[in-house]
Amino acid sequence: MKRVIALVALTAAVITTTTACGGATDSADPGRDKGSTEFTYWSMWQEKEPQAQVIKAAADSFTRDTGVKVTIQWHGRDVLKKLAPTLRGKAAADLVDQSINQLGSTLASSRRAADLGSVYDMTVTGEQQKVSEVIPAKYHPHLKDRDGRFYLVPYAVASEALWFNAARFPEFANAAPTNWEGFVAALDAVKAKGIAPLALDADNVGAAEYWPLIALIRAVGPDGMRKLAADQDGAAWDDPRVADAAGKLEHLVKGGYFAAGYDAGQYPAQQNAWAQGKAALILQGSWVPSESKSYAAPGFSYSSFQLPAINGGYDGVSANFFGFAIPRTARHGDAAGKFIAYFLNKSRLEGIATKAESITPREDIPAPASLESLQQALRDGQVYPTAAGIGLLYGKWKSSVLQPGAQALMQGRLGSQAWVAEMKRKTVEYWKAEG
Amino acid sequence: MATPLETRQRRIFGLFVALPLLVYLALFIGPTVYSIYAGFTNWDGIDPPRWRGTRNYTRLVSDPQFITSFGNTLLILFGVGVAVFVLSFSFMLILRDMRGKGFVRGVIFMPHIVSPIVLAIFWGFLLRHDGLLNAAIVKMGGQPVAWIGPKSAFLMIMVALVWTSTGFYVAILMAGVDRIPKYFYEDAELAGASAWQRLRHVTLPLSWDVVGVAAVLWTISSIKIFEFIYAFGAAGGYMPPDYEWNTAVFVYGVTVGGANPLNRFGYASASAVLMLFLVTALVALLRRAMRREAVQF
Repeated sequence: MKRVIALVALTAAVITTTTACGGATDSADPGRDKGSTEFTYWSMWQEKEPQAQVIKAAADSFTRDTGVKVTIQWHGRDVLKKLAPTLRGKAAADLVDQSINQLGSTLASSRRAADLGSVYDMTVTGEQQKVSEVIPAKYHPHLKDRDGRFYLVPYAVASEALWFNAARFPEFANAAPTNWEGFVAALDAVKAKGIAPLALDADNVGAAEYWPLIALIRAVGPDGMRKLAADQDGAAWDDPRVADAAGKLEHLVKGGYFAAGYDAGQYPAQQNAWAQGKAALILQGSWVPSESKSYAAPGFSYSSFQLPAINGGYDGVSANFFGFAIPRTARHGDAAGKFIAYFLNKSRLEGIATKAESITPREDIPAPASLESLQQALRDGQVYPTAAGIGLLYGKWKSSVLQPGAQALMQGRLGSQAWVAEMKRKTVEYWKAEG
Repeated sequence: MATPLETRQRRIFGLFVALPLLVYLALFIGPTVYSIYAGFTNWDGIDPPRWRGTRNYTRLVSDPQFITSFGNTLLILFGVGVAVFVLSFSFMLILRDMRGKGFVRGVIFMPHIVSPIVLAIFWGFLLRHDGLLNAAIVKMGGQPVAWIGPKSAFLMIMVALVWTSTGFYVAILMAGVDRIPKYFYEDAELAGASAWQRLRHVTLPLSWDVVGVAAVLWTISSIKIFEFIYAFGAAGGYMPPDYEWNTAVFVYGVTVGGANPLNRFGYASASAVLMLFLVTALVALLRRAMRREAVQF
């Protein structure tokens, strides 16, 4: 308790010192060339990570080509926590990177992000195309804040899928199920062979959440999902499609489709067991191949398909973005903006795919083999923002109502009817308390 | 009239007191007072706090995650507390007359020295579904047990806390008991007192102040337990499942734990203040309940 109080106080002290330096209100327009000869980049990566090495190499050549000095600080995943106290005055960094959820909640939702419209208008260094042309148009609506301004330029796109070993289950690679009934039939076929159809680390809040979240989106679509989150009177939860989707998940939970011990393990035990071939499929983020490869069975060939639509519902692919943003009060936003346009050059961005094993937003950069199937799904399908955007719009509801609820359903603590009733009650109560 | 030496001593005394007092005020009292204020505001740690009146508190008592966390904190405080003290007393009684008690005491004390994070990781290896314990059970022909399933995970955390805390209290109680002169026990034995009577009429009264201090120490430290639970339950950048939260984890969860919106410092301060009052009240009650005439010996 004392530690927490001290932490709060320490933050207070830091804030009072930084705010004393003057509350800047002028905003950085990366498009207005101030002739900056340097900028500071705070990174979400640690220096030894492959992403860091790709960005570092680009920064070095940027300095060689333009004479602009780049100061890099490798802060790791907590980069925005460290940046936040400096945002009242002149931001400590001119360029930061993180996921869209983090950048959105720390920068965009409180209007602390610079408008990157001018960066999207820049020509990618060394190419003919503009930034707005190499970032596919279908992503654009999801990269803007509520005022309709771009605040993020992605260099990596993540998503979720059902992952499997194509060498062992060629049937999924040849003809992935396209509807729920086909999906369950395929699971039954796997089960008949004596293999657990599904792996899930149900103790991991995020992994457990994927199932109800994506199943609901498959049933009612991203718009419907947002309505469920914002449901003040409970009417949206009465939609029979919701009960139906929950029932389908209950069938999986109660029907023994998940590998033994999925509800009593510790992440990533199930993920590793899956990689060793002890289960056929795992619903997880696109980081699974690189996270699990050191455990994977010999000859494991990563591939994926999307959780199928429910009753002809929505079958879009979620897109989660990692990329650059510029704080509104940055000193050298112009130089940072130029670096973004420089980094998006195909030859430089390629490293994110080849070295960091991620999908880049550029469709002309092939994804690493393990993510090929997912890149194709992103290219061919409709795209919706990760978690239908509720992480940014209704984050508190997501963490305090959806996540505990999702875990209760997937661990079998609640049946589907009780679950829907509970979600409805908690959502109504939540909005009543939030006012 | 003070001698020059006394004056100088007084001046040095003032200096010696003033410096730590200043540090204490700036780093402890100040922040505590500020948290009490912040508890009535909406504060993200960046913008100035906005007054919210008592709404943080009314929100807290209807927040299911806080209610779970609060219940779990009480379970640790009382459930684990009682178990730790029963065990500590038992160990103390057994060890008192045992040969090699220093060694045994060292073994029991061990977990207290090791980082709670290391212990939490070990506890997970032991208890998870594919863990060491289940491997042993399966080897002996049994079925694996869901030790850390949603219903039992917090119980397992409590067991671990008993395991890691007992040694410390055994050490404190034994230090108190070791200074009781042998002849009291010899006298009691000659008078035909049973083991229970010796505990009741010799050990307890003569180590009562030590027991009181140990109880206060447990009350304060149990409410601050954080590292073990977090390291045991958090995974892949996510908070532990909320059935494993106590109020310290709750405070972390609503501030820097990763949920949007981040940094609800006002709300977190309200919960911290609530717990501070609880500790203060409990310690005051304990002190009153444990008050006895000190026995001189």
